[in-house]
Amino acid sequence: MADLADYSHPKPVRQLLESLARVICPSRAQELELIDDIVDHVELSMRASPAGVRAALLTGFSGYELAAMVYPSHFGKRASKLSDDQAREYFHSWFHSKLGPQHEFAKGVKGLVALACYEQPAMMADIGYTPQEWIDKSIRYRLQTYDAAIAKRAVDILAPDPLPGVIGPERS
Amino acid sequence: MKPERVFDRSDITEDTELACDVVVVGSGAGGATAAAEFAEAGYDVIVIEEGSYYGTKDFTPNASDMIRKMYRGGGATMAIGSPPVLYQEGSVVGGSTVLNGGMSWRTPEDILDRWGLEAEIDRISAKDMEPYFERVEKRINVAYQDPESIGRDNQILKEGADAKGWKVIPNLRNQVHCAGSNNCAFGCPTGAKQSALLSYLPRALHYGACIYSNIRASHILRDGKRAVGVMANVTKENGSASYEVKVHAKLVVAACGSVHTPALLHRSGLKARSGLLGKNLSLHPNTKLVAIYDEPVRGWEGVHQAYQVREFHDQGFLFAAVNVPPSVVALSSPYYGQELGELMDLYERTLVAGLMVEDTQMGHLKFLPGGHPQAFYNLSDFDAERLVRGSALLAELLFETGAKRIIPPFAGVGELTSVDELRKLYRSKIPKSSMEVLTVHLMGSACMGGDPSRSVTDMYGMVHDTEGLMVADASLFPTPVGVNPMETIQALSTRNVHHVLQSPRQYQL
Repeated sequence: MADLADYSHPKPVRQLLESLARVICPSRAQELELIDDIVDHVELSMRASPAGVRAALLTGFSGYELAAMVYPSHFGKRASKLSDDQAREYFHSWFHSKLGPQHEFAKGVKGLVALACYEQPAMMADIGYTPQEWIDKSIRYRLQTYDAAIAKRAVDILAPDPLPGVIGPERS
Repeated sequence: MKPERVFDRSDITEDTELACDVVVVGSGAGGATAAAEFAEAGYDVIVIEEGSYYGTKDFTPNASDMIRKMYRGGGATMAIGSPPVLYQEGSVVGGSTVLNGGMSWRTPEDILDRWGLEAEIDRISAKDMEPYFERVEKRINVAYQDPESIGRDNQILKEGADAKGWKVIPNLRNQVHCAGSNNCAFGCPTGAKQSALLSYLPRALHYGACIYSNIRASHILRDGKRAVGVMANVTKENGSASYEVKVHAKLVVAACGSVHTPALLHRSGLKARSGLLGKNLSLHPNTKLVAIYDEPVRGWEGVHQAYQVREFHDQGFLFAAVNVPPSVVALSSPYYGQELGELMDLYERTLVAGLMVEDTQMGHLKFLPGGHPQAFYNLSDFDAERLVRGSALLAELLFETGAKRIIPPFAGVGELTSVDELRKLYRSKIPKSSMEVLTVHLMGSACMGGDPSRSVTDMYGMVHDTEGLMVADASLFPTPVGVNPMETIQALSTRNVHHVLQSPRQYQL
């Protein structure tokens, strides 16, 4: 299994991600009351990420949270405390920033949160994405149509077929 | 349920010593092949694998869950450079064969000829390799798709290529009557894809091999210049190390992929006199276009990559339809908020098409404290131009088939809504930093060759200046192959094992 660190969102990061999820995800995610689930999903993704990526994200979250305080239109307020409109405007300024690190951080967080959003079964169903139905149908069709070939293959894969000219091990 | 002789972390409850003839580190395309061939020849084989064991019934379309369980670093691994390149590797029993699209192509003849001439590798022509390719193709059941498994997205791609008069070919894939469940990247839930999990590894087990999953190799044990085993640790679920596992062996096979094989060699104190260990890294830069149609496409209903457009193969790039789940479209789209919602509402009418470039630039690995590898790669100007031109040509094909909107893989370019707008791509100087590039094909970082001053292993994958140590993965490639590399890895592994098995005493086996 890939490395799964003992990571849980610190409370300030969770609050910030809740605010970011309301900006990044379409309003449907809020209507379906999925914000908590999306933030939980981001936590799982961060747990599986390489330590360096996780550290970079946490540093970015701190920077994003605190830099909001010097933003003229909401001076003194942390990013997680902004109103929805302010949060949207603030995220927009980072996402379209000409400063590489700001833009890259916003792009990365957007990707992480958008991924988490559309991994929610309710969001998938909402856009008509029903892969399990298709997979179940594929499994049934394959087994019904090609049963004999599948059974033959299971035998063939184990049949002796040594490489030519091979000298086996000498055992004392 | 695990098969017999597949062990995991729960089976090792104290520091452990094991002994065998051959220890194989890594259970992907190269490692599984080597394990099966050595085992069938009568040798005691132990395979150690960092990832966990999952069977066909464990594979679901829950992309994030599968990625977290089976992709190294949760899929968040990246080569640093301009642009940064996201890359993905399997960390699971069966390695990347469990997660790839199943494309099974022989190494192009011209590539093999180059390897013979430039890397001074004997007996590597297409004719020499023929029996190995045949053997691999039989083992993994390389075949064309049944027609009913081909979905609308691939039909559209083919119709577009036909309309343009471009060469398009059906893909050869390692599958037994694949019904097109389109879940390749998260494990085949039907059992049709003949990944190592369902081909070489069952065969290796049948002939007596053991597989130890959740075991991470720390370094190769050596006695002077001879490799004599592997030191490893059981990994806990949180990734940290627990009990030590020492495996004594007459031959060590390093098959951890092009990032981790060089790292393992480096951690073991091995230095190639060529200085090429961890260098010469190529990665087939990939990118993708998202096209929206008026008609339903439902790209998840039908096989992944039924066709490849080969019209521009001699120029170093090819196209395919590569459906990805909505979460991945959402992740990489340039939108958020309501715009993202509006795009995703059209997911059913979305076709995702990919472009792969045979690269001309080489990257390298750096080994951080503790021996952890970090990849570095800068896209060359030439390859960047090919990505732009390839994207424009692919967009041309998609518009030909009725695409209404296309999101190109270049930040800041904006959507394309007609063929006329393709000029935007050609005209604007697209900075490399704005290109969305990813890959699943890392190659070349422990390259083989006849001249020790220009290679890391000899022409049969044995590490120069070290006895009893073989490399068996894509890190052997002297150059990129320009096609999906799995079959090349498996055929080379078979060839190289065959060479050892013909004169085992020379290798003290």
